[in-house]
Amino acid sequence: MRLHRHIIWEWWDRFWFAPGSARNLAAARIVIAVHALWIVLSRDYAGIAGLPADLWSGVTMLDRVRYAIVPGHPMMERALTVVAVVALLAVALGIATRVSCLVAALLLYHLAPFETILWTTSPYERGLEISTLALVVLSIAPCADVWSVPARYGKQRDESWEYNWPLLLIQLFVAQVYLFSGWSKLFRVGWSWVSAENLRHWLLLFNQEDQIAVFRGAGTWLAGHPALCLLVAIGSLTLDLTFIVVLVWKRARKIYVPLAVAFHIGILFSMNIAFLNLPQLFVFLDWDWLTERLRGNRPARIPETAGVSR
Amino acid sequence: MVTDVVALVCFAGFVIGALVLCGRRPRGLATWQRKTRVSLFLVYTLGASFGAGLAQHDIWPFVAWPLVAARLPATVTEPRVVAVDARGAEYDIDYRAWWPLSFDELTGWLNQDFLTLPPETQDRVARFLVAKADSARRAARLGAAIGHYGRFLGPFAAPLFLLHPRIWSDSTHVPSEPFVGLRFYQESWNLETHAAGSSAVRRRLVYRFPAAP
Repeated sequence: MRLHRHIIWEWWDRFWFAPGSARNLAAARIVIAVHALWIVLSRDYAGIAGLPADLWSGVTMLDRVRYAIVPGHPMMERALTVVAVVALLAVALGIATRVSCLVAALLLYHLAPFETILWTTSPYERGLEISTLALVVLSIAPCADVWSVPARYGKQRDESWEYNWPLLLIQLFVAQVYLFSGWSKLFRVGWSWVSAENLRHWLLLFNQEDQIAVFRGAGTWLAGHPALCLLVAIGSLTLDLTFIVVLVWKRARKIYVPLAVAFHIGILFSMNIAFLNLPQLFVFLDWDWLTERLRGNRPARIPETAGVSR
Repeated sequence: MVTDVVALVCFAGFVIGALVLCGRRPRGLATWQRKTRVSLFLVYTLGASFGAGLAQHDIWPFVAWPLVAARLPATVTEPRVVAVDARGAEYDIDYRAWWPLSFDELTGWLNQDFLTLPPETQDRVARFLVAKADSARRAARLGAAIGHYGRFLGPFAAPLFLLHPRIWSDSTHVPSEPFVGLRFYQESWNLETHAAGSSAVRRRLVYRFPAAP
């Protein structure tokens, strides 16, 4: 028992607390902040706060308390959106990240639900779920030691375990999208989800529904090939369930991350679904390796980890 | 209700855990003490995120991610909202007209909550929606922006999760007559027969404004 505990702790320590790169963590900070800014600046949460009270009739008091939402005050929400934008800019620039990350996280937690709150309290797929969690993690991490305004003239930082665990946790949040997406198909439908007929029906729906279909060619063509539909169904479920290996097998990122990007681009053109978290896949890039390449230096890193972050 | 409470508690615990972790001068602690604190935070976060995902219960921002996680039958039913002019002619509405609401949130709400409202409230909402659609129609006729999706980022603004065609991008395709009413349909069709060339769609009128004389 004691031995088991020792082995588990050793594995835990090696996984979470291995030396990590300051640059990769800083890059994750910038990716998360810029992505969240992209979403916030593309929506109007304050406008939804100002919709007539009749539209808010289905929102319970508990829903409002959960997200600290008081409808009917668009000016206040506009002011909070401005604060969120300023906080996210500060995060991107690495200014006062303890405070700016936490403020941004709490404001995203408050603002994001406006998009769906009239009918559901879960604004998932709207792009801000990972950012909200990641910003809380970044608020307690030394994420501005490099690539930040305060660290502009600072010296190069050595690798440290304190750079590793926050980045790994953010990467886990991204990897969970795939894992849970695959798990949900088995949990809610079972193995019968993997069938040519089911995927064909999904493709047909998103291509026949004229209120959705922007791109029709790829989806309609694919739906006409049942063998390919089956292959795509098997491939997507396999990608979903195995993507998480990128956390423990760093070399796999060179295959999985581009594959995931291609997968989402394929879904965009065949099903008219835009996966808004796509840019967050940049947290898997090895920015140390990339920086050295851009400077024309041969990366000093051992080949096993080349092209991937630690 | 239970989900709301659990979700709030989970997120509050996550934030409090973070605050505890960065408080009390963590730099003054030995490495093993700091690692132990971080480990407790990690265990909590893993518990919340895997709990939501494996149990398939959204406790946002810990999400279950059920993307396309259903078996779709051959016959599907989708909502459609159309505007009506004084002659009774129906028109599709560009999704941008509903800004700041998105098409998917509006139809989700119409499906779930709208029909449970008293008739006079339904009519008030319908009047608001007609005004919104007509204001967008007028803007589109003049070639002005519909909604404000690109107000800060222009063409680089984030799209919606589900794409929608911009049917009023060409001002010559925008209805010329003012909208005076609205109808809400549920449309059903068979995916397979549709793919084979049939355009048969069964329409069920769920609500109309103004009410039929």
